[in-house]
Amino acid sequence: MTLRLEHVSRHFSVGGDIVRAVDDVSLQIERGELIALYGPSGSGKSTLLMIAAGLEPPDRGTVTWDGGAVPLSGRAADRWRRETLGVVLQHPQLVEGVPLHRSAGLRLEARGVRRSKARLDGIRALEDVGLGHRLEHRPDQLSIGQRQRAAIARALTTNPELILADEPTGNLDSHTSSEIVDLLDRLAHERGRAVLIVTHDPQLAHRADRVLRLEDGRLAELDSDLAPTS
Amino acid sequence: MSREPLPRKIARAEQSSWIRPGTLLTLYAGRLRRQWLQELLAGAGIATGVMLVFGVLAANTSIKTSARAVANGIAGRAQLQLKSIGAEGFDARLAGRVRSAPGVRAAAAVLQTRATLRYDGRQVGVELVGLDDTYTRLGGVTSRPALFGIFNLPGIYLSASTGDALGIRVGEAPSRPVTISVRGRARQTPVIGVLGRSEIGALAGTLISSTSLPRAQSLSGLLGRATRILVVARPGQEQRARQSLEGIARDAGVQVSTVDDELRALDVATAPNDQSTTLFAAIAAIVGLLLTGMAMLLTVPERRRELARMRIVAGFTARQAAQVLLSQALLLGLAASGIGVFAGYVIARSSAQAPPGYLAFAFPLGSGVDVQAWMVVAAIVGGTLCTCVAAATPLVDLQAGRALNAIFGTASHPGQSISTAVRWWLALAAALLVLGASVIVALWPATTLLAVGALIVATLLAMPVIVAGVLAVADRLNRIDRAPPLVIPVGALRAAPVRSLALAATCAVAVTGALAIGGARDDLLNGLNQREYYGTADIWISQQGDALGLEPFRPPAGLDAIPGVASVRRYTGGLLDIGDRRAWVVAHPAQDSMMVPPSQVREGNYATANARLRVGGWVTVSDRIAQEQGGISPGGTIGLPTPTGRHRYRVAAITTNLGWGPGAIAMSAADYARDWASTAPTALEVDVRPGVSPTRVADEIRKALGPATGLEVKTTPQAIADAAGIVRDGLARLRQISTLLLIAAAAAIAVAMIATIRDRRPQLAAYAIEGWSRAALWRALMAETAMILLAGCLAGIAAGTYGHYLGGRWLELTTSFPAPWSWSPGAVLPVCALLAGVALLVTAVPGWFAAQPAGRLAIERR
Repeated sequence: MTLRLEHVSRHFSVGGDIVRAVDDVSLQIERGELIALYGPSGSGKSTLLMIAAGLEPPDRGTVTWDGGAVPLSGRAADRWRRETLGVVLQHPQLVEGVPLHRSAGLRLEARGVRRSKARLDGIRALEDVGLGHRLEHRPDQLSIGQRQRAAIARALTTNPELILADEPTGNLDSHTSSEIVDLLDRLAHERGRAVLIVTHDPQLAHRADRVLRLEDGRLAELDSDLAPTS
Repeated sequence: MSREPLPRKIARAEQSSWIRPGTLLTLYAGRLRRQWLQELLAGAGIATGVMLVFGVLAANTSIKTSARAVANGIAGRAQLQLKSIGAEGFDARLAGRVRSAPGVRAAAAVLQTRATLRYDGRQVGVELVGLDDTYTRLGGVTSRPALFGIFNLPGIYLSASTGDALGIRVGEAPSRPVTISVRGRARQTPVIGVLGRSEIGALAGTLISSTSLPRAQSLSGLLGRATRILVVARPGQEQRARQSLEGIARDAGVQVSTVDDELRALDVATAPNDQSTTLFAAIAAIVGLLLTGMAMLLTVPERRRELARMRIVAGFTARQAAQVLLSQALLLGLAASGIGVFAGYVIARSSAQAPPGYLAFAFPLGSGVDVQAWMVVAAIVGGTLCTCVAAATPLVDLQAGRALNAIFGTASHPGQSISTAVRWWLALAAALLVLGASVIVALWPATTLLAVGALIVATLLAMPVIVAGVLAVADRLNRIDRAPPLVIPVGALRAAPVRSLALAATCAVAVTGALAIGGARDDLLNGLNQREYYGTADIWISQQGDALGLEPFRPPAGLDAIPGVASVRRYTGGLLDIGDRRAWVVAHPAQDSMMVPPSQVREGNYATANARLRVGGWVTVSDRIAQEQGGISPGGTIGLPTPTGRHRYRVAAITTNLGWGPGAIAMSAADYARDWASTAPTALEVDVRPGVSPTRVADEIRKALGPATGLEVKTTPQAIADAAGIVRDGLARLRQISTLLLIAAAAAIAVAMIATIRDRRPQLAAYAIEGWSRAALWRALMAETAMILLAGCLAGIAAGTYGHYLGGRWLELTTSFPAPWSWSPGAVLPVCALLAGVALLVTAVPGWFAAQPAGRLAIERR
């Protein structure tokens, strides 16, 4: 199971100027690998993440998963996102207003799993990320770190092969960041998931198997030990 | 945190305690660039509410203003008048005596009577006005050069509205004559011209036709007669002229009044309608202002964040932040209210083109909308004030320690949650409010408007419990495996309680208003049992277009001999001015099965009253007339002016106003014929022989009358339908208000839902990333709308039903109209279905597009 991006480019026209958000980038993520995509603001990291997730079409190049093209729209795209992909956002979009246990199985429900079973599996995923004691709490009653963990738990309910995380520790203190990094590390190295993380966080970058530096849309690979420190 | 560049002027703004107007405008321009759609949608919601307020205000005042213009247009400089008591008029030569009376400077005889004009298959009822040649000295509209022809040319003039109804345009003189039916006689007469606003001013908008006095007398068969003498007194001698006229009036059996008395009579005639429409216009205005506030309330979460950014990022003082927030609300409120006023004017204009048909039988009325400055000011100030009050809610964040709430809270809306205890306290307050209002209204019915206002406030207070109840039911449903997934809509509604409550409350107040108004209108419609009234005969014959049977005519001979006719009886009706009341006199022949409709008797025994009316010397009077005449009760007496002098009658019973606003008097046709010195019927009641079809006999009668007749033959069901149409027409304003209210509310909810959906795109994008299909997300959005509508409709049905009860009772008490309480699901469901249908339909399209958001939205959300 490999996510492969080959010669991918994405350009935008801003006020008549062409901005090369992603410029001829090729990369590959294997199962069991944790890759950090590192770079300054505006370097094109989020655009590259969206292209990898099939949420944004590249102007040039190809994105494949396990040899097949990543679908961009329609039912195939819905299915791919439900079954293969797990996305963790900097601002986790939980179902506000209802306790965690009610919405825990939502992702499985979208996949057609019976509601009662989906909920049980969802609760199990919450327990896995250490939120077993918070099941009755609504998202607005959780800390930011707990919200992030709840979002990761929800992403994991469908057992996705590929996990893409956009600044997952961006709003967190160092202790909570560390917990999230541990979690993502375990996902890659113990559960064999392919994990791509967009981050500013040097601590997280250091834990990655590989660190890719994106600058002005172009990619340079660094050894994780050489990743910048804060 | 916001990444948008802050305007450079902010830095300067920081240096003084107040921000300069120019800077405020720059800041608002920046906001408009960033949040143009949100501002547009909020503006649309505000405009909708103000449109409702202004439309109702403008439509409610149009009749009387146009009537004043018409009365002054006809009367010119005349201050006094002599007017006939019956429809037969008086000797027009009386005008000569008046002219020579002390204190009188000029006098002109006028013959005014109802007529029906037909041309090219079209028909219209008009007021035919015949003017004598001294009329030019009165300075009325016919003194203008364009109308000099009246006294020379053989034909009639039409007002623009009359011409329009017949398909003849202003300035046209059709080559073929029109057919004019007056008092049962149909004649052909040429049209000299159709006169527009530039020639006859406000009269152009009335259904009126004018001609010379001799021609009007000839057309109506009232040779040598007049119905009014308009009088201009010598300067400073008005009192003297009046005394002279009173002496003449006593001898001639006519009445003296000022020209303004016409307007006072119209005031009395329209008072019940005005009272009913004022109550319901006030309800609509309350609803409109609430819609305005709700529209603004929906933008509050975003404004809170904006306020926090101003405080934290730009370093504004609390005063400066408040200034920015309120100035933006003020600008938006003013602009949207201005648009709302314009839209309301357009709606009022389109709905108030024709005056109510039933009033046109008794008064020459104009059309059009009269916009007065106070209405514009009230609508704009009200709309802007509601906008500012709703927009001011984020100012609570200016308290110490709350500035960061809006930014560093969670994705939901902090500070907006309503605890269960608070919900129940609010519900208790709502119950107490309703209870208190009920007690007060029971003791003082005049406080009904306040009670309805309290009911609407109570509905708003009860909304948190009702919305929570609907969400609890949805929660339970969501536990069922096969039930549709409701956790997304339930979560969305719980996460933004203020927004959810504002939307549900919008729906609730709209349903409340529409049901209260529509229900009271239905009560009024049901109040007069037309079947009971017209059931005294199988066939009715009257002057064309005279659905109330007010115009006398010479009865055609030989009707008894038509096959199938069992009997023909003479019915008489007319209008009688008692003080400022233009009362309806109903005189059934003694042979009729009833003399007064049994359901309309309020005091006294129906059977006794019926028997006494047949005997003669007895009348029934409406409660309002009875009250004004010193509180007459059954058995008492009342004096009435008649063409043969003042007569006293015994009162057999007190009735409702029989559906005629100023009140009604019932007597026997024999008494009427004697005291009004007229045997001319205003309608003929025909009974058919047993087993014979009334429709067939009616056809036979039409055949016998011939094509040139000015009479109309109707079977009883047709007469009932026509009368019901007139009653409906009279209540058209209520229907317009309730329809306008529903449309405004549906539009407001739809606009609010579109704004809400747009706000939710990042969340929807996150769901889409998880693999939720477009159809599933669309269904979730629609379920969210449906839940809001359900909560709103449930609250609205409960409050609206009670509002209907309060409104109906109040109408009955204050207007004297019969309005028995009637409620049926058939009246409630269409209101809810219309509101929900429109809101769902309008939400469905943007919802479909929003259900497939760009994934970028979820990732880029900051």
